[in-house]
Amino acid sequence: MFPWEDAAEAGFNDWSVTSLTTLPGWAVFLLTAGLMVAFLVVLESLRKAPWRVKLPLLTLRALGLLCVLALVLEPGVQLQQVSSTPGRVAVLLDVSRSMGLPVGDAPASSEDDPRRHSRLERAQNFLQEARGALASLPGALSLEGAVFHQDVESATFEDLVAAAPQGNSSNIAKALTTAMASKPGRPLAGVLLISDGADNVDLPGNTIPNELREKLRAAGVPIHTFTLGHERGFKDVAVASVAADDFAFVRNPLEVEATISARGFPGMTIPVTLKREGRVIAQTTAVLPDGDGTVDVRFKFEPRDVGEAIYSVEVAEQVGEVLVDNNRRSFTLKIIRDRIRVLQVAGRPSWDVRFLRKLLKENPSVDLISFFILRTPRDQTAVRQEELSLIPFPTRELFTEELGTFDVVIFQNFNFAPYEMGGYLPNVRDFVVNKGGGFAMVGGELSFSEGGYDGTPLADILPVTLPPGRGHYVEEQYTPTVTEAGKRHPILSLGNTDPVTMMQNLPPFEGFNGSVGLQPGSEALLTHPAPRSGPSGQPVLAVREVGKGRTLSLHSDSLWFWALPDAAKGGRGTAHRELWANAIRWLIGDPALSRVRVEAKSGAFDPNEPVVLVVRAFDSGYGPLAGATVDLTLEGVGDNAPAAPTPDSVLPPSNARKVTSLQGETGPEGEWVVRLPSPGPGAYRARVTARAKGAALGTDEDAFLVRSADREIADGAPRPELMAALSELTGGTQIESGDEIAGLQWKVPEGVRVHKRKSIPLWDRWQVALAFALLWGLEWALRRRQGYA
Amino acid sequence: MADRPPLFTRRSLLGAGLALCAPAALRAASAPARSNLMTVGQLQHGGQWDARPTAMRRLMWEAGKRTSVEVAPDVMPVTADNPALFYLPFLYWSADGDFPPLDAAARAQLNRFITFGGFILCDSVDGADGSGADGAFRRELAAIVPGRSVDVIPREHVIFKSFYLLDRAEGRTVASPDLFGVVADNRVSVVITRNDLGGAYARDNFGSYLHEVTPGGEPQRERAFRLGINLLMYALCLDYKEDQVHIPFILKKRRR
Repeated sequence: MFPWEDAAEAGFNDWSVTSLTTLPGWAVFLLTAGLMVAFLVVLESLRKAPWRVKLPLLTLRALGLLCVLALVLEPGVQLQQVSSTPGRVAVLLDVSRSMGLPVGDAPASSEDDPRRHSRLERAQNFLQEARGALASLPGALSLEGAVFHQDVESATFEDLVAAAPQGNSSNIAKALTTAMASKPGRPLAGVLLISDGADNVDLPGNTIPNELREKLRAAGVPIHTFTLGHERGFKDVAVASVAADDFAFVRNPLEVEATISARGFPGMTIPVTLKREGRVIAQTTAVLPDGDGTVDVRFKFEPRDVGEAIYSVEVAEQVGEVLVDNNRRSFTLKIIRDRIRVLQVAGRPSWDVRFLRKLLKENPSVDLISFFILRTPRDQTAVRQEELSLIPFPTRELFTEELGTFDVVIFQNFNFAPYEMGGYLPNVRDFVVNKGGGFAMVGGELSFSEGGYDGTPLADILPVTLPPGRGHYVEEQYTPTVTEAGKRHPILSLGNTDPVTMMQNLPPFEGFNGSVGLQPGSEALLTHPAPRSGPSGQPVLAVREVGKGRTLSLHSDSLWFWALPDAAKGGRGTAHRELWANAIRWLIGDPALSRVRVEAKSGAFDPNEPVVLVVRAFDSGYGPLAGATVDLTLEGVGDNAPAAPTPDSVLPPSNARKVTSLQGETGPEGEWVVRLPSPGPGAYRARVTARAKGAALGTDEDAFLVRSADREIADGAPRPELMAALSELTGGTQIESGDEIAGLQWKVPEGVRVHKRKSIPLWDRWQVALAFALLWGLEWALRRRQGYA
Repeated sequence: MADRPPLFTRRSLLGAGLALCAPAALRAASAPARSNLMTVGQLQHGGQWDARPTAMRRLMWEAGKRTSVEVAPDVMPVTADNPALFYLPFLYWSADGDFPPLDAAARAQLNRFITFGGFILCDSVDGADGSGADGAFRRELAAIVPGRSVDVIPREHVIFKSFYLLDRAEGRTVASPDLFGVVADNRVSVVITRNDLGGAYARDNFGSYLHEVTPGGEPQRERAFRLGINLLMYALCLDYKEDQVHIPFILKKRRR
C-alpha cells in the first residue's frame, strides 16, 4: 500500500496525492476549459469516421490532453507522519467549604455512622473506588484533574484524593467553562463533575442560564455527575431564593415571591415572614412538600416610605436542621416615587398661575391637582348655577382625607379665609412637620400677610416671619440678588450658567410680598435689592427644613416673567421651568439633589469582610468638591423586631442602634473612601452629613447588609436538581458509585495529529514525460494513416 | 403710543410725569403690564385693526365683575415687533376686511409668542368666510405657524366650558356658530371667530351699545360676553376644566 519504502523508513506512515501547482484557480479553470474544447474539436472532426477509427483516436487524444492537464496541475505525493489524537476527561472535584458539611443528619453517638462523613470525604472515597476505571479509559483518553471552589486549579489524582475543604464560594459554571476551554491537540471527551451542586455564584437556581447552556451545547461532551449530600438523613429548610424587583413604587402594591426549599420535613406547615430591617411587615405560611422539593410563597404589601431598605424573608429554625444560616435571605429594595403628587391651590387665575400649571401639567413625573378660585363671593352671581361650569371648592376632602396623598402643596396667591379654611391650616402644618410633605407659598396680593397668614399655623412653618396686618405687597421692578446660599443651592442650579449671571439676563420681577426676615434654620436664596422701597435684603426666595418636611416661600407673583417675557430676548423659558422642577424635587427631599452621597461598595458583605463606603461631595455645579467635612454615622437596624405584623409606616423610627461615628474630609477627587472592619452580621445604614466652608451640603444614606454566615455555608444545601440538569442537558449520566465509571460514554476524538509532512512532485519523473510523448506521437501517426490531418 | 405702551405700575405712572427719566423709564418699558393683572394686548397692523375701539375694555370690565380675575381696564395696543408683546399673553387681533401681510420679522415674533405661551384671539369684523379678515388671518397664520392647520374647535372643547357652559359661538352676528383654532404648544393657541365679537361689546361714551346684535338680540349679546369670558379663562387656566375632578359636575349640569 505504501509506495516508497525508503519514506517509511524515514518515519512517514501516510500518503496522499496532491497538486503542487502555483497557478491561481482561475488560470487552471481556463486551461481545463481549453482542453475540453480541444477534445470537442477532435470529436467533431471525427464525426463521420467509423467507430474502429474514431475510438482509438479519441482515446489517444483524451490521454494526451490528460497528460497536458497533469503538466499544469503538477501532481505530487504528500507524505505524512500522523498519530491518533488523545482526548482528555476532566475530573472536576468541588472542594468548597460546603463540601466539608456532613452528608447526613446522624446521631451524635454514632461516631462511625457514614452519615457523619463530610461530603468531600465521601467524594474522595468514590474516587478511590473509581481509580482503576479512570486509569483505563477507552481509546487514547487521558485524565485531567482539577479542584474548584471560587477558582479552578489543576490537580493530579493524588491531589484530588488529598484535597481539603477551602474557598468562600462554589463556582461550578467557571469550573465547567475552564475545562471546556480549547486545548490544541487535546479535545475534551467528557467531564466527571463531583460536587454537592451548591453553586452560589452563577447558578443560584436549578435551571441553567442560557449563556452556559449554549456553551455546554457547543462543547458537545457529556457531563457525568456524582452528587454529594443528598442521601437520606439530611434535613434542612431554607429560603432558596427571593424574587423582588430592585426598586418599587411607593404606595403601590408590591409582590415579593420566595421559594422555600425543604428536605426531611414532609407535609409540615411553617410560618414565613417578610421583614423590613427587622420589623415584620407581612407573614404567611408554607406547607412543605412531602419529599425533597420547593414551595413558593408570595407576600403582597404597599410600601409607605421612600428610600432604600433591607428586607428579608425568614423561616424559623426547625428541629434537626443541618443548616440554619440559610433560613433567612435578605435583599435590598429601593422604594421610589411613581409620580410626585402636587396640589396647586390658586386664589384667582393669573398668568403666574397659568404658567406654573402648564409646566407642572407637562412634567411627566408630576401628577397635578389644581384648584383655582374662579369666582369669589364678591363677584356678580346673576346667573343660574346650571349655566356655569364651577364646582364647589372641596376643602374638607382636600385638607383632611386627601392631604396625605400629596407630596407637595402649593398655595399660589391664595387667601384661605373666605373658604373657611382656618380649621384646616393645622393639617397642612402637620402634613409638613410630621408627614414630611413639601409646602410652597407663592406671592401675590392674596398671599403671605395679605392673605392673613400671620399668626396662623402656616406662619410657623414658612421660612420667613410674616409682618402683622396687610399692606406689605408692593409693585416695583427689581432684579433679585442671589445670596451665597443661593449660589450653591440646587434650586438655583439653572442650566450651565451660574445663578448670578443668569439673574442679570432674566427679566426683572415686579410684585413683592414683604416679610420681617428669615425664621431660624431658613436660607434665603434670592433677596430684594430694595434701594428705594422695602427693607433691603428681604427674602424673595427662601427655603426651610422644618420637622420632617420642607417649605419654600416665593415672595413674588411675577416668576412667569421668566417664561413668556424671557422669550422676547431670545430665551426659551428655561429658568422658569428648571427653577420649578428643582423646587419640586427639593421640596420632596429628592436624594438626588443632595450634594453629598454615600454608597456602600456592595449591597451585602461577607462576615469578616471589611465594609467599604464611598462618600462623594459635590460643589454647586455638582462637580467634585474637595475639602468637604463629612460626618458619617453607622447604625445597625433591624433589632428588637416586633412579633406581630405592623405597617412599617407607623413604626417609631427608634429601632436603630448607633455603631460608630466618624468624621473625614473629601480628597482632591471629592471622595472619601471609608474602610471599616466588619461590624458583625446584620443590616446597617450609613448616614452622612457634609458641609463645606461652613455651609451645609446636605445629607444622604445607604443601606447594606453583613451576612450572618458566609454564603458558602448558608447556601450549602445540596442541589441534586442542578447536577441532574447538567447531566441531562449534555447526555451525561448521574452515577452513584465508582463501579459505574467503566460503563460511561465519552466522546472519543476522531481526529489525527500530523507530526511531519513532505511533498514529492511527480512531474520531474521521466516516465510521465515519455508517456506524454508516446501518446501524442501515436495519435499523430494513427491520424496520418487514416487520412486525417 | 402706538408701539410704546403706557407704564402701568403705580410708581411708574408717577415717574411718567418726570418724563424721559431715562434708565428707569426704559427699564419699565420692558414690563408694560402689571404682573398680577390680566392685561389684554391688541395687535396693531396695516389694516383696520381697531374697528371696535371700546370693545375689549368692556369685556374686561365684565370679566372683572363676574370672575375672580383681576383685570387691567385698558387694552394695550402693540405691534408684532414690539418686545412688550411678550408681557401680554392674551393678544386680541381684530380686523375689518383684508389687511396687508405682516413682514417676516413680525411673523417670526408672533411664532415665538405662540411657541412660548401666548394666546391670540382673531376677531373678523366683516364676518366673511375665507376672504376679507378671515382670509387674511388664515394667510398670516399659515406663515406664522407653518404646517399647523386651522380647524373647527369641537363643541366639547374646554373653551366652551371654561367658565360658562356654552354650546355655540356667537358675537354681533352668527356668521358661523363655530370657532376655528390652531393647536400649537399642546393647546389651542389661536382662536378665530367670524362673528365680530368686538361688535357685540362696543359701547359709546354714554354707555349705550353701538351695534345691534343679530339675530338673537340682547340674549345673544350676553352669550357673546360669556364666550369672551370663556376665552379669557381658557387663556388663563388652559384645560383646568378638563381635570378629572370637574368632569362629573359638568356632565351633571349639562344633562339638566
